[in-house]
Order: sequence, then C-alpha cells, then structure tokens
Amino acid sequence: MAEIKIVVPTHKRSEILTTNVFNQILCINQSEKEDYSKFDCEKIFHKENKLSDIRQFIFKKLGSVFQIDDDIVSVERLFVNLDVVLDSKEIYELIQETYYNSKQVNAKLFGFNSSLNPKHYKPQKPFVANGYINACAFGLIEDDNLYFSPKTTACESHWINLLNAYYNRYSFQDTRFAFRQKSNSTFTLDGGQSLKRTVTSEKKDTLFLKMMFGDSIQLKKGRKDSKLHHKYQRKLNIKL
Amino acid sequence: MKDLVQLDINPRKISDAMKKKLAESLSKFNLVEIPAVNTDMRIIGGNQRVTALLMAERGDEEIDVRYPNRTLTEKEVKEYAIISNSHAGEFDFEMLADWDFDLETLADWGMDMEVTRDILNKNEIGDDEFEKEIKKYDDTNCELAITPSFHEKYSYFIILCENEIDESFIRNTFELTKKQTSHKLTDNRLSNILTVEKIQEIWLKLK
Repeated sequence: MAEIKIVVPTHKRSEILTTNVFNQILCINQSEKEDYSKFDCEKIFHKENKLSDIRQFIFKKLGSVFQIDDDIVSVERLFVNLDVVLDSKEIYELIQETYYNSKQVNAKLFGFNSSLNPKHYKPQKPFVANGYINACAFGLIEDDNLYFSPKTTACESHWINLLNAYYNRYSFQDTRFAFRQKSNSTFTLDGGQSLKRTVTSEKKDTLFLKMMFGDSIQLKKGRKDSKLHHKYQRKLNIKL
Repeated sequence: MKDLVQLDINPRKISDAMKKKLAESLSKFNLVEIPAVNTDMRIIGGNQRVTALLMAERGDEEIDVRYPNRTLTEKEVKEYAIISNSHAGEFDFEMLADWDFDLETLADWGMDMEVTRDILNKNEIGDDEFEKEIKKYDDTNCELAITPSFHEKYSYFIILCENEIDESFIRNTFELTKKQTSHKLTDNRLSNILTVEKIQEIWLKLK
C-alpha cells in the first residue's frame, strides 16, 4: 500500500511545537532552519510567507499529503472511555488507513471529527461523506481542481472544504477520532497563524469566500455559551 | 474549433449562471462575435464562447476567427485581454494578482480603478462596505455556487459477517483481499470499501 506523507507546517514555534506523529516531516521557513535543528526528523524548507502559500507549496511538492498543525497535543478516540489517546505510531497508522479508505471511495479530501465533544459523535454513523473537515489535520489526494488560494490569509479550512464540495462533492471523514489542539490556540497562541491573522484579514477572508461561494458561507452568530472572537466570523452552509 | 488553444492566463471568469446564459445565447444567436487568436492559435478574445461551444459538443465545427498580421507579444496579449473585457463581465482576481503590472497600467487599459484596487488588495474595507458586499453575493452571482443536483446524496452500508464462512463468502464474491497495513506498526487491518459502480460491475458478472 502506498503511504501518504505526513507534514507539519510550523512557524516560529520551535520551543512549543507539540505535534508528534511517527515519520512526520516538518515544513519550515528557510530562515528558521537553525531554530528547528534540534528536531531529529525529516524537514523540508520553503520561502513562503502566508500559511495558504505554504500549504500550496507542500501540496505541489508532495502531491497527496496529510497536513497537521504544529499545536496538536493529542489524537483521541471518541468511542471509548479508556485508552482514549493514540500513541505516535497509532496516529500514523490511523492516517494511512483513512487515506487508503479515501482512495477506495475516490474522495480527494479526508479527515477526522472536527469536534472533541463525544456528544457530537454519532456511533451509528462513524463515517461521513459531507462533514466539515478541520484543516488542523487533513489529507488531500492529488487532484487538479484543489489548491490553496493566495488571496486568503487564514481560512484554509473553509476554503478547501468549499472548493472540494464544489468540484468533488464529497469527502471522507472518520468521525471516531479527533485531533486536539492546544486550548484556544487557533486565534491566540504565539507564532503560527497568529502572526498573520488580524481582524482586517478575517474581514477580507470572509468577503472573499462569500464572493467565491455565495450562500455556502454565512456570518456566524454568537451564542451565550460561545462568544464570537470578532464580528466577521463565518460558518459553512454547504447544502450537499 | 477544437484546434484552438485556450488562453491559460485568461483573466475573465463567469459564474455558473452566466455560463448558462451564454450557452442559451449561443444556441439562439450562434457565434455572432468572432473570436480573436494570436498567430499560435491561442484565443485572446472569446475564450468563454469557444468553451461553451466545445461543451455543447460542437468542437468539430469550423468557425471564423480574427487573426493578427503579426505575432502579438505576451504584453499585448494581456493588454488585449483587459481591453476586450472591460465593458462587461467580471475579472478573475487571483489570476490578475499574478500579472506583473501596476495599477496605472491596468487603469490605462480601461480597467475600473475601484476594481483594480480590490485586485491588488490595497484598500481597507469599511464596515458599511462590508455589510453591503456580504449581502450582495449569493448562489446566483458567486463564482462557485455549491448546489445539489437531482437526487444527490451520499450514504453507505456496513455488511456484518457473523463468522469466518460468511466473511469468506463476502470476500470471494466481492473480490476483496485480506489486506494488512504494509508498515505493520500495529495489528490493524484495513477496511474494504466498495463503490456502487464496483458492485454493479460484479453484479453483472455474476448474472
């Protein structure tokens, strides 16, 4: 079975990188080569600035590839109470098996549960063909229609889910497992995307996605238990 | 027509709704406006019209084209692509952002300055403008509207085998092999998945 490469794009987080998957490859800016020298694993170097460009660089260079954020603290089974956390080799195998399954159904985008809350896991429906795949950990299988737009700053999750839905209609998601990021890290953890994401960039990203995908993008409304980070936050509304 | 070469840097884009209208127009009026090509037969004006005709399986037809009396340079090809599209339609911002021309040059060629500023992402969007713009776009005028077609639905079944004999029957019938992960880090087995297409193929063979 052909294996899929697992790449961790990381930026200015050599001291706090938590992702640990067997055989992972770090993707680092050329200028940070020294900072990451302590990591004894394969590395590839780029000269890009934005994460969308880095993701595109990885996709173009390696073809089919699984990309994981650098702030993953654990990968968890949602269907058990004991032995919830997978070890490094188990994560690797989980990714390879899901890649194999995705190829069998000819899905071009694959991933896992975007929610760690077991209440959101439906045991009778472990595999989903039209769910939202969080770009904190996702696989892409070589496809001419898929790419990361240089026009976006920090909305790769939404972009790639929408683009895939438009061209390929479905994805492959194994909802029995979920990747846990550092608490609240998406918007505020030092380094990574936090260095690029601003309220202005979020506003532009939301507008750009709306121009591209129309009603499939909607402004998010705050709830009592979930306050918005800013008023331009968006959500997907894919009607497939 | 199928021998013509599409302009791979075409900055013009049209929505699915516009494509439909164009196809209807071509079916009603045929190719009234003649496409223009460079000497290498690359289409520099009329890419969308030719694409619509090719999609209507009319690629074998002969059509008139405008042919220059000398080869246009790459800069001239881009200039013409802007001039010929300035009166209508939308531009592919991503493609234009890759063109290495400044604001003034694009404006000289007739592009609307507001649009040009958007392309180069240099203007700040005010809240009022954001509200207005966000309401402006929906599935009828966006670039890639995701709308379900008739009966579009994705689902799956799981086949449970209660013993090895049943498992073997399923494996043989559906041509499944016992696969194990090649890396063998753990004792996990790979799943077998069959698409409806594959089942139909086997079904026909069995019949």
